[in-house]
Amino acid sequence: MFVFLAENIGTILVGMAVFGIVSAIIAKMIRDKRNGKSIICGSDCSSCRSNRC
Amino acid sequence: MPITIALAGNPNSGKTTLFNALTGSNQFVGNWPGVTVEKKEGRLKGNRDVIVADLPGIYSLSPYSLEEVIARNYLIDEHPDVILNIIDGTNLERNLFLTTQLTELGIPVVLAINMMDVVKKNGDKINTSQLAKELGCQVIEISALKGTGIMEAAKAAVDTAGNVKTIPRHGFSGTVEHTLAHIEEAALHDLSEERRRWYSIKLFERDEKIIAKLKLGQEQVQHIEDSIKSCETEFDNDSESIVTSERYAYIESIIKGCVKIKNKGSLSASDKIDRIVTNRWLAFPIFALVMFIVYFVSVTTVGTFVTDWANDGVFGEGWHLTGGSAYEEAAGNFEIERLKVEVYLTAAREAGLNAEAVAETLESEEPDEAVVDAFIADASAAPVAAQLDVTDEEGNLEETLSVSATDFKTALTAEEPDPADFGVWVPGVPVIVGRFLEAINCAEWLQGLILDGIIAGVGAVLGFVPQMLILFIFLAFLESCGYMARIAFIMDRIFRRFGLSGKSFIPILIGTGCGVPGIMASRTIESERDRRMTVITTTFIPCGAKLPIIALISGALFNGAWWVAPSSYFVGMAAIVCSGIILKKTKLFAGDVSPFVMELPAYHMPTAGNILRSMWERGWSFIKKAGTIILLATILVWFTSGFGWADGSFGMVDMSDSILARLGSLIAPLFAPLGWGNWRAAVAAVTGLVAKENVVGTFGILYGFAEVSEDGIEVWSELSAAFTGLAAFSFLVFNLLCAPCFAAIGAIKREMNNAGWFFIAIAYQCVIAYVVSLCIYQLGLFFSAGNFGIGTVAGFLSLAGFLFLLLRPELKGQPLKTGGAFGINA
Repeated sequence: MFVFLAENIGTILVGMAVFGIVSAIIAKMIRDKRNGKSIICGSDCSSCRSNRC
Repeated sequence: MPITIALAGNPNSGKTTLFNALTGSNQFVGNWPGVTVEKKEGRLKGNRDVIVADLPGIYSLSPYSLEEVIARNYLIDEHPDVILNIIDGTNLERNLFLTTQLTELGIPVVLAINMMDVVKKNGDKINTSQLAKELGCQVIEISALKGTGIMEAAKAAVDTAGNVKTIPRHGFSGTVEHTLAHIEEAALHDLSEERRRWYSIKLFERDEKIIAKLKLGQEQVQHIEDSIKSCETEFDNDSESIVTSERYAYIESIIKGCVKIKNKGSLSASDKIDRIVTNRWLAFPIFALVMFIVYFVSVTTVGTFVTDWANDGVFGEGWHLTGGSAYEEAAGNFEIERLKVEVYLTAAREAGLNAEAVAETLESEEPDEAVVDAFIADASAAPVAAQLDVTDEEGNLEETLSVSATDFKTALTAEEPDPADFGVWVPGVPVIVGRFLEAINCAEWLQGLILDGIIAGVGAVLGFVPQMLILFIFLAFLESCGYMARIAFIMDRIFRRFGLSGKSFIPILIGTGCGVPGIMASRTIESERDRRMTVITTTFIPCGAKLPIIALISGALFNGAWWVAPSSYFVGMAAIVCSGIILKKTKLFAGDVSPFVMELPAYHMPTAGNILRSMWERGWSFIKKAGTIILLATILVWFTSGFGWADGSFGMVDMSDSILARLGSLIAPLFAPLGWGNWRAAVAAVTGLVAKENVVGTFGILYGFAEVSEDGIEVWSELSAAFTGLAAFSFLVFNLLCAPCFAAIGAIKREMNNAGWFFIAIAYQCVIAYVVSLCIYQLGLFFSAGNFGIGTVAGFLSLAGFLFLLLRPELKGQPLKTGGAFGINA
């Protein structure tokens, strides 16, 4: 077990970092969607002409 | 206790510029009417207890447009502590029309005369103390753009709030005043004294919203109506017109006493410029030239330079801070030595020598010297002589070198220069990350995900950020200086002939940044028919997200040819015009074109701050998108392009056996008539539906941009080998015109609010993209290479059908129904 961890510690740490970043992105997109913001249009909704209704 | 200052004024009078200066906000500013369509709030710099509210620009307090309703409701319902009324000093007469109404609201008013720098420059004089006396409120001279007088105006507003009452000084003629008094007595005695005046005038004007708000009984309404009718009979005019004409008569009397115009009747600088740029014959060529320069500089000249740095440097091998030219010279010399080896081996083969063994050993990491020596001995004895043509970057012949066996031997000893040995070398992101992952012994699959997936995909998109920022600087300049408003005016003349109104150009203009707000902006078009047509055509104009596709195709397939980027803009414009003609000739869209009324703002030199702010807002939204949706999409593309089923089990496979290859191969034949029937291109076009930048990100992964750049070979070489010029242009046009990204498709669905219309819009966009790309590829192939086949027939039939729809006689439609006009033609 320890040997496996020692040999793959780099992969585990980088994998966890990538997983964390992807999870954070998905969580933010879900949060934005719930708040009525577009998850694809990256424009700043506060200054968007269409944000009036 | 917080104080609220409401910024109110005519459209394009400088409210948002003042708001940004007072609060330190970064709201979008543009030199055309109607930039702000909703209320925004911020806190005053240096006094956080003061809230500043920026209202949409309005011409009056009559609810003709949505913006006017928003502003009016805020003023009468939320009752701010003070109104800071911003008026354009160069056009006092029109601006004071609103001022006379604001002073009737019962809210203290401070007048800020903006653009005083322009007034003084013109040699005009405004007697502000006299104006203050006439209007009954404090008057401050400011220049929001230059920042002069703005804090004094804010201080005056804060001091006035709650301390000073603004009592309207102007009165109407006796009969009108009598009727107003009658209305006050009949219906408004419950209201506070200072608010009665405005409500009585609105009831006199028969404002339906105010009648509903006051919940007047039928008897009261009838009583008021009798009074109004009696007044109207005396004036032989309707009540609203009576009030308007009396206001203007009053304003005229003020202007006479307070304003001295130096060159009355002469043309202003803006008028003189407009005589040229909106001239009947010159307007369109000037517009075409301006847009050509914008796209040419953004994508081809300056844009190419910075994007090459971003693609080859930051997201490639790296870049030199110093010593770059010395490295380039050394790399050029090494390339010559490498080519000497290549041409000598070719010459040896042609001379009948067996060069395969030496070629094979030279490709290995440790070449067998004995094999090499034996080959050189044979070649010397033959003897083999070769020639190498050395060309410059444009392919012009510089010199011809003779290559002997000795030269071949010397060339073999040449070592590839290490960029790190020359000056200060900064390695690129893939190199740094690659070294790090190697150092920590990261698994190969994870290295592949990060380097060949995320960095290759996201990096391919981010590499175009500098080019986009340059384009956004140009667009921000054109917007801020006032030229964009002229383009709408110029285009109205052209659009009108083809069935579209100049009003349609405002959404198209906004669509150059992002299609979503562009589609939404079609709401300002009153005619439902024209609005739907605008929704269908707006996304034909290349949005910011399509710029990376244009730049990639231009750079990789056309060697940065000058005409590719501007032509993509003009293809978009042509598609809009042709669609206008075609759709207007159908039963669904036939009819008169809606009128277009727009105020042309004065030209002014925009500030660097405003331009940079606008550029950054647009650019940052692009970068954010690359870090979220594009990143997720690249992971999906990497996974599906690297994994699949082989020998009955699921795992990492060759790209040609991957899930993506199999799916792509199913749809690729659909695009074969367009010249790009390979699965990679088909997949890229489909992933572009997620976000258009994804086309580039997908190419980055499927054509291994990161991998090839690490080898030091031209980043886009694999891509350029996969397309012919015609196929590449056909691919570009298809991606420019076909259904936009999901966000814009969603916006189309919302705006159409009808499943049938939504499908018509998407189907029309896809069909027109397919037909135009088919014609480009098939007819291009026929005329350039003489190829004839079933595709050529399909191309000619499509062209004939397109021309028929374009040139057939017009249908007579229903007369146009529109709402009230709300602009002023200047």
